[in-house]
Amino acid sequence: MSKPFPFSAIVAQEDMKKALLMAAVEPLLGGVLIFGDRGTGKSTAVRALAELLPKIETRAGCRFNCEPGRPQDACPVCNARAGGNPPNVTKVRTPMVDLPLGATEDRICGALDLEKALVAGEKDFEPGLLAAANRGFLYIDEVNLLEDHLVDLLLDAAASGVNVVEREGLSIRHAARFALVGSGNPEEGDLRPQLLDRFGLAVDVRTIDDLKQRIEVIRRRDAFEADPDAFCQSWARKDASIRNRVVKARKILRNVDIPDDVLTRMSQLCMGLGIDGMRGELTLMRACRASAALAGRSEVSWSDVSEISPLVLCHRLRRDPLDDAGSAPRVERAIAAVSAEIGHG
Amino acid sequence: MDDQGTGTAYGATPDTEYRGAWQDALLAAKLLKIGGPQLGGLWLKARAGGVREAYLSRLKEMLGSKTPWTRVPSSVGHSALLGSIDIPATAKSGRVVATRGLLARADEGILLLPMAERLEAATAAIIGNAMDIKTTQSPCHSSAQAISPQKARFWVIAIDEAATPEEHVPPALSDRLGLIADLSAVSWSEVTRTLQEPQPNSPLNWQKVEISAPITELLSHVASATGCASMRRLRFLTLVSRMLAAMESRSSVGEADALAATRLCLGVQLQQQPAPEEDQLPEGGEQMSPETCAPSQPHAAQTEPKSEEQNKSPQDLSALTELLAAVETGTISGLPELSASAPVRTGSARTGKAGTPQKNARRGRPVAVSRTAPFPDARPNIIATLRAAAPWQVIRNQNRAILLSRLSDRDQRRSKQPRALITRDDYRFQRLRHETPSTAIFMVDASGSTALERLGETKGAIEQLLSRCYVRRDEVAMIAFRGKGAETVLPPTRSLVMAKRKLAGLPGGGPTPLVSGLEKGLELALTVRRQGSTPVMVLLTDGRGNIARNGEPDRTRAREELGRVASQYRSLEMRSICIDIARRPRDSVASLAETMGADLHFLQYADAGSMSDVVNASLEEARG
Repeated sequence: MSKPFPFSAIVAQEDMKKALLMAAVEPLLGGVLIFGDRGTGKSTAVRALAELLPKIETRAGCRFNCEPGRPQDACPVCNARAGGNPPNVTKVRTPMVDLPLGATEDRICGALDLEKALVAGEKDFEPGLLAAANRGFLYIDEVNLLEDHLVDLLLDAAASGVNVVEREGLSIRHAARFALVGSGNPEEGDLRPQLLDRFGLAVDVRTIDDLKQRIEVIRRRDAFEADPDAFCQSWARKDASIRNRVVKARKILRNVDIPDDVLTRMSQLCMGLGIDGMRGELTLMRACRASAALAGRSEVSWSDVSEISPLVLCHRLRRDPLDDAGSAPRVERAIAAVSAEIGHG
Repeated sequence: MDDQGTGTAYGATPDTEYRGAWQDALLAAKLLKIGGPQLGGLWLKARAGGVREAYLSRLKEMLGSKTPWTRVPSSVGHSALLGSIDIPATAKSGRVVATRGLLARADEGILLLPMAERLEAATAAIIGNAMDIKTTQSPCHSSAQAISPQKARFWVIAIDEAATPEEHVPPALSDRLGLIADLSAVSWSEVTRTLQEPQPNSPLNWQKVEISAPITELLSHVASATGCASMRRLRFLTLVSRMLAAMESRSSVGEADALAATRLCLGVQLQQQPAPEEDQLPEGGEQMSPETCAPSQPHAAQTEPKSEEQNKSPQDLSALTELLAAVETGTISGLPELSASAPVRTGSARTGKAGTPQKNARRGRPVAVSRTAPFPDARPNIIATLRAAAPWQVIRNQNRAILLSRLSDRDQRRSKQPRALITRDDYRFQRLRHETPSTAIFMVDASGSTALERLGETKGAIEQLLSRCYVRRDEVAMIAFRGKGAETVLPPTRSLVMAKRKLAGLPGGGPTPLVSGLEKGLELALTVRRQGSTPVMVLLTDGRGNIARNGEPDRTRAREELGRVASQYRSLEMRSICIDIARRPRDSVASLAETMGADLHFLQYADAGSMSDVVNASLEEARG
């Protein structure tokens, strides 16, 4: 594949960039859904992200992306046979697996290795895309067009972090901890609510309507097409500074503190919006932590919450089929209501 | 450059409008050659016929004989596009052999999509994705080495034969196609009159051509005004105008180039007006220097356009401004298909979706093993295949021994004994069946004088339906609207007992909140659909709603809201039946049925028997 467009050179679309970085900092967020108009740089941003992130450690030839210290049972490479040593530790790019729309179930979960079964008569497991995406990202472009039975598979794996294969006489479990990133255009079909709810963050991207920014987009794209290497070079420093922010944020993430009063108000907000279940609140908390960590702070403030909550909550609201305005205004009103209460108390 | 010698290089002359279309199409072909896969491709609006064939052969000549042409059928499977395992070759050689997909085969060439308006959205998305990343990934399972990502840089030519506004090329594809050409109005005589143009020999150096900020701004405005706010479209516009300027050997984009670009990329043009022909060369010389693409200096780029605007005299871009004004007021020819961003969806207009989607399901209960693949990329059931092959092994081994004995020694040594002799006849596939029940949702007008009688008949129909569809596990629900709102009288159920109990003693009379009824029905239908069942809506009404959504008696508002809700039914592809129960057929019901996309039935005496017949037929259809 040719070199991807640098992440820092993407004009505007701050929400989308922030959401992606937050998912990179906190893998437990549960992924990002990017829904919006065509030609807004959705795929570009996701592909750029993989290039930007720091590399991960694994062993050479490992197809399950095992951590060198904790090899998985299913991996024949990291569990060296008696007497031999496992291969050396290498650093690889953060996995960013593109899930093609036409993918089959076998390709996603993994299946019996037909070649080995036919040629050598051995029963061997051929890992699929879920194994390849372990410790990284699984990107589904046009996620709303994906077949239902595949969506079910993905949901199951994403929620449990484990891929269980029980087929063709195989019985395999391996880790599949990845952040789902989906993009799509809602005009071509909606997403099932079960899947919608599973994405931690949802971003609504719109075509840029600021003239200067539009022209800037065209300029940068032109420069990129004309000479990709030089263009990436000129943006390398900005990319590196974002990478450092992510690395730093990952370090301090576990120490980020949420004051009790902010937590209480978060619960108020979720209750006020009538959001079912705890997942919304939990994700909101994690997202706020990630956001504060990205900013280099060790405490979450209310302004974090009011900034982040549209990303976390909009897609979890019960939808009114006749409401064209969307749910963003409702979330904003609820935030304003909770903020106003602080003013009084 | 233009052998017509008409003075207009590529402008449409007012008297021969159609010639403009043909010339534009030829120009688009030239641009394709110059721009390469960067331009995405061509959206060709043309029906089958001589003109189209002539155009395509002209294009083929222009691109040279070495460029591969790959024709993609509209019913193409995903594995055919992306490549899959070649089963016969795999079985023969004993290791996995992959076939290249159509997209990889089209590398450095043309991917021709006839009947692009019939393309499924998912297929279009796959092609669009390949256009973006310029490689293909195989969806099939196999060793990593066997099917690695393959290069796929290609032009797409999507032939759009859409006849009605409901058919359209999937936006995932049309958004990525840089050029638009419409051959529908080109006459054959026009085609034969134009001579073969001499090929431009040297590749044009269009990358050097500058485009000034005011022109980009205006192009952006025009694109937004035509409803194509997508950044891709704007990029195509600037690219094409730069190429056009290069063809005229100008060093910066003039207004004529920009105008031509709007025609080629957006399909809009000012009618009854010759394209302005002023030469902007002298001016171009001085405006080229400062605002070159300056990716490393975003600040400079942001401040630049302002000063440019002041420097430049406004009348330079009068025609473009005029075009913008015309687009904004809507007095323009050849517009709106591109901007139809939320077109009416019709289930039947896509291939593969019509008919029986669930018989060869991809999930569900395994029902049987069969010899033919239930869907294109099905994987054989290995155990069943081996079992099918087992009894033949002795015979096949003997056959093989006989065949081997006829071969030379060298060949005998080369062919080693396989573990099991499996032939094509042995392949077995698992069939799955996925039950999708349907739910009939009755929305009954319980207002007015005839309410009681009508309700009674509806109840009868529901009971009849339930007793009939018990075997099929279909469900029935009922919503009644009267007075100020609608209520769900019977939630989706398949229990006859429950239905009888709930439907006993239903009140009637009062005004008609038709909107509320439809709205409630839509909500219920969406829930039902989410649960995996197919809703069939049955509306019984005389079409006279007089209560608005908020419960106020406001006829005009009610009518307005009714239109909105009804069009939602259509856009969500609800299968619906509208039963007119007025004494005489009414226009209002007919137009409502049309907006909803419903089948209209007229039952003056809506008796239980005929009603349940009508609904039953529709339920059967919904099951496919």
